[in-house]
Amino acid sequence: MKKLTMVLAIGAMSVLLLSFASAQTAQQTFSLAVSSIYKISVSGDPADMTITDAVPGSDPTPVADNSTTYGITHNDADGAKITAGLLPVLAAGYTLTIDLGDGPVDISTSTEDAVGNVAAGASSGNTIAYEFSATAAAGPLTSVSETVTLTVVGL
Amino acid sequence: MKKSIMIIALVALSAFAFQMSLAQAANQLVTLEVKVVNKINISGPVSLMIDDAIPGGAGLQPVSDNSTSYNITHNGSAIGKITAAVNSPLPAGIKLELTLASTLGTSTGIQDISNATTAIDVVGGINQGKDATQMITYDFSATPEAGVFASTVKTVTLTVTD
Repeated sequence: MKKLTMVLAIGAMSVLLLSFASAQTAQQTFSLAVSSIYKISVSGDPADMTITDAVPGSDPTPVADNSTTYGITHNDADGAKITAGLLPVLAAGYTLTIDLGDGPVDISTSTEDAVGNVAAGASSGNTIAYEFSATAAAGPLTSVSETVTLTVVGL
Repeated sequence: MKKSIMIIALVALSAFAFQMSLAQAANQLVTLEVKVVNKINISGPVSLMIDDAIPGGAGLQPVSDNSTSYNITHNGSAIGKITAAVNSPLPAGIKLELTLASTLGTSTGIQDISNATTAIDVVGGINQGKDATQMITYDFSATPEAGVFASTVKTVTLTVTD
């Protein structure tokens, strides 16, 4: 009788354990977020732009460089723009334009919108086109290093 | 009190972080230079021929030509000049004079270049700038004693310098 009772007890315990093992859950709460992201980078510095020639009777022949590119990533559903500025600013008679795809803009003395509306997304290998020009009246310009800053800003 | 200060600080920090995330920049170094540029060209050749005399025994009739012009670009010093030279002198009694107009500088007026194998100034005080379609005037004359002068090609060289 005692033995039978023990067998029954073991059997009941096994059923209980089996029951526990067949269904078990755990819950966890978590938060998800994607921040506003604006990133822009450039491939490097352009080659030196040196004006050396002119058609007689005209201002010196401008020089251009389109050897560098920019990449941009942003996730603003309202779009973003790219501004371009130059420091230090150029003296009168010297002009530097930049074209990031929306046409050339003069950044010689002020920061300007270079691309008006970039849709959310990522793109790379976008050409940066510079043109440097000078009037003859401005005279020669000793080699000067300028910093061009491209900034991506949400609209 | 301590708690509210912390909340305000956190809000301020969040606002700053939000601001920071709205714009991002990349820099590029651009090196610019303009060299001294002195350029001049001439519109074309000139042909001058004396084939008449002044009535009354006053000698041969000089001829002039102002059909050509020059263009100049100069960004060097503000005291640039244009010089003129001929490749070889003309014989005695044959005279070639040159006048260059200029708005960028000051013409030195009529210059006898008959023997100017060494360059002489024809425009002085050229400012930095450009000058297009400026008149070149040649005056060609000869004495009867010089005789016939067979058609000869001469080269006049105009040079712009600082």
